[in-house]
Amino acid sequence: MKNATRRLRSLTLLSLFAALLPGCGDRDAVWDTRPSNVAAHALQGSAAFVDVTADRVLLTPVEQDLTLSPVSVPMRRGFASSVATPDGSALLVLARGDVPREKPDDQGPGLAVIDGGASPRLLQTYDISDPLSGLAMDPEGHFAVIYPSAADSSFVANPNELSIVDLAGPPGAGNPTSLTLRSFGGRPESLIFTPTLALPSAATRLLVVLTDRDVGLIDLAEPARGDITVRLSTTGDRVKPVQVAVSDGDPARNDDARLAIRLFNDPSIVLVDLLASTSSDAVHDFRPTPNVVLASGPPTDVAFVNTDGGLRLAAVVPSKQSLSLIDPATGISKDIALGAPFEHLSLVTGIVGSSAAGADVALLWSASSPFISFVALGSTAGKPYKSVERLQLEQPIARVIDVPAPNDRLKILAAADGRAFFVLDLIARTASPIVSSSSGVNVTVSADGQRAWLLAPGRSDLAALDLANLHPQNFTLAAPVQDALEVGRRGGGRALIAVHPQGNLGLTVLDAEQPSLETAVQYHGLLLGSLR
Amino acid sequence: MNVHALLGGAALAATLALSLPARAELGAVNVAAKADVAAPIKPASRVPEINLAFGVRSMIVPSAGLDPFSSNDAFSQVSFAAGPTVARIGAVSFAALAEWNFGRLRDTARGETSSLAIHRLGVGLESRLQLARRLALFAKVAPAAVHLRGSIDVPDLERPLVSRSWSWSLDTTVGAAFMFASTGPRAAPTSRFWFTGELGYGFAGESAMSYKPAADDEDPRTYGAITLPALRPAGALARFAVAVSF
Repeated sequence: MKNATRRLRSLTLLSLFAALLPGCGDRDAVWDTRPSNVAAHALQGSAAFVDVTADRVLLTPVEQDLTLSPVSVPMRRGFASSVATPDGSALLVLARGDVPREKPDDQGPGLAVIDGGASPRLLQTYDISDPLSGLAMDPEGHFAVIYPSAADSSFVANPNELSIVDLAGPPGAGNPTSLTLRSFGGRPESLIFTPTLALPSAATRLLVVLTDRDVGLIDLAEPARGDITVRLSTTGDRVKPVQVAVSDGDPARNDDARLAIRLFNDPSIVLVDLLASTSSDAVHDFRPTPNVVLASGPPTDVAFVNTDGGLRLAAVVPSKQSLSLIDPATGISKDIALGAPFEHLSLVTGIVGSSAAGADVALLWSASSPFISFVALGSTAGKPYKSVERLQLEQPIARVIDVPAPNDRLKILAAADGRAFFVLDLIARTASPIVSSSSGVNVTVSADGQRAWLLAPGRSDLAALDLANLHPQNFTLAAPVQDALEVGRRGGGRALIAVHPQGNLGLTVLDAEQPSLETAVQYHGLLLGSLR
Repeated sequence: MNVHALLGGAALAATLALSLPARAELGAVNVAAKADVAAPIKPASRVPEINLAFGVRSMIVPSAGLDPFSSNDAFSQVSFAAGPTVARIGAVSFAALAEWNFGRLRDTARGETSSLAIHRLGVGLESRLQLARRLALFAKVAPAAVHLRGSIDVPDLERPLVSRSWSWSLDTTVGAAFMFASTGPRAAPTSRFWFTGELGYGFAGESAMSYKPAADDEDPRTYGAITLPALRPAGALARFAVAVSF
């Protein structure tokens, strides 16, 4: 009898619990996932963190008191890539969606555009036909191109399929434009956006697609017309394009725009004149006409330059320690002896002024030689240059970092070991060394050109280098720093957001203009916040 | 808010309605007493009588604010209650009570160890109908103050992120009590021991859960707060307890 009573009581209790169980749901899966591979971007008015496992982008506008006002913007599942527009006004996030799509509410691939200002929001999403992972951004911020990357592993894929998104236009049937490159066996390896070129029909911009064997040209004003393929070899020889230089030619003419295509480990350079189409039934209004010119050896960098003798193609040939100046009209080449194996060049005429009759000034540097050189491209006494001025540094240079105005006369030269830097003043022709006690230091220059931030991943050290007087200010933060993101603050001023990668991310927010740990605000567990 | 108000009103009405048949029964009990007949539902206790209870209060809390601390919506607390039976009219009695419920959850939130402690300090009014010597039904309304303390351990910081907040709560339940033992004479026991079980709905206000490191006088740094989903500790509830009346 007692046992029966106990059973009755137990059954009663169990039935009561059972009545409650149907309402006992599981939590959102996001709480069971650790953040991983969080991409961080500095935008105009906020920092953006792509929280892949939560299918969102967390943006952090900074208030005047250096506190954050985080905003969470949902993104489609299957994150593939993200990139900020060059001016930081927006963040582009490419997602593959649900692959495969099995249910009506499964998400398709799309490119989301998120406002990068101080009031972040989703601006629009462009639907993409295929789940692709490659994303290239136009340096002028008008177009984005989605292409297959090595990360895409569909059962069947067309590696020559591109989607071109006009970011100024709304999503629609013609935006993005999908097209397949004409292919002679190649597949895209890099994409280059030209500046506006005066072509015979109209001023337009081109997308230059380098494959492993040829080059495709796409008119960005009319991408639906498809590409024009420039074959680099018809003899079966395998040549690989690795760089494109662009010239619009004489601003008063519309028939002298041209491209120069540098080939891998080959002294030949393919010059492509963009002439008016002669065929009435041609799809395109321009006709690329290739010619081959020769440098004195395999060049490692090429650029069109203005000399007092006219336009020339400059090719740096480290094996000959020379700079070849090639007349694109005749193919005649003249060499300038440099005295060191320079590998790269950039034009600095806009900063230092032209040397003579509009002739350019080029800065040359090398990753294998501790020299930099200024080459003034006028002609003097039969020489094809006016002057070659060399500076010897302590180490070869691996990277040259531009500084925005008003300090655009400066360039930061980073040595290969990431321990030594030189602040090069292009006007004074001085190279001031900046040294670090740590190797592998990363440099980020602020968008206002006033300062540079230096950090070494894995270390808690952060330094602000004032570019006006080259005074470094060192800080030791509470945790190792992975990124330094400088953004505008709401109401004016700028803030530096130092990103600590551990766990759910920590941040230290400093006043970028007057950095001090006394006024800094720290955040821990950032990615735990602002979830639904 | 409207749903809560409706459910609250319904529960309160149920509490009052439970006492209506008791009043109808009042005359019958008195008549029976005058006739000196042993009524089977005659109360065998004193007024005032002290009631003590110890048990478990379990809730289903669908609030997203619970997610960082638990992989499901269940939340249980130990429950202590005490108070006097203040009035008796025939088979119906009314008791006041004070109660303290305390529960703690521990889980991980995106890989970080998290915990949530909720204290509930309340008072209540219980209306009880004695159906038989060993069986009673009751309805209860219990407003309370609720203190929530969330805590999350994060790397790079020797102390946890903490959120503290206060909110309100209102439990509305109905239940049954089964007397499993007593002491003293059967007709007038000196103490009675009960199993009680009750079901109902707990209403509560929503608390913002804003986290920053616990204060430390030796740390001059300024910390910003991160905001997790607001927590409303409301939902269907059940309470099971062992009680003694004396």
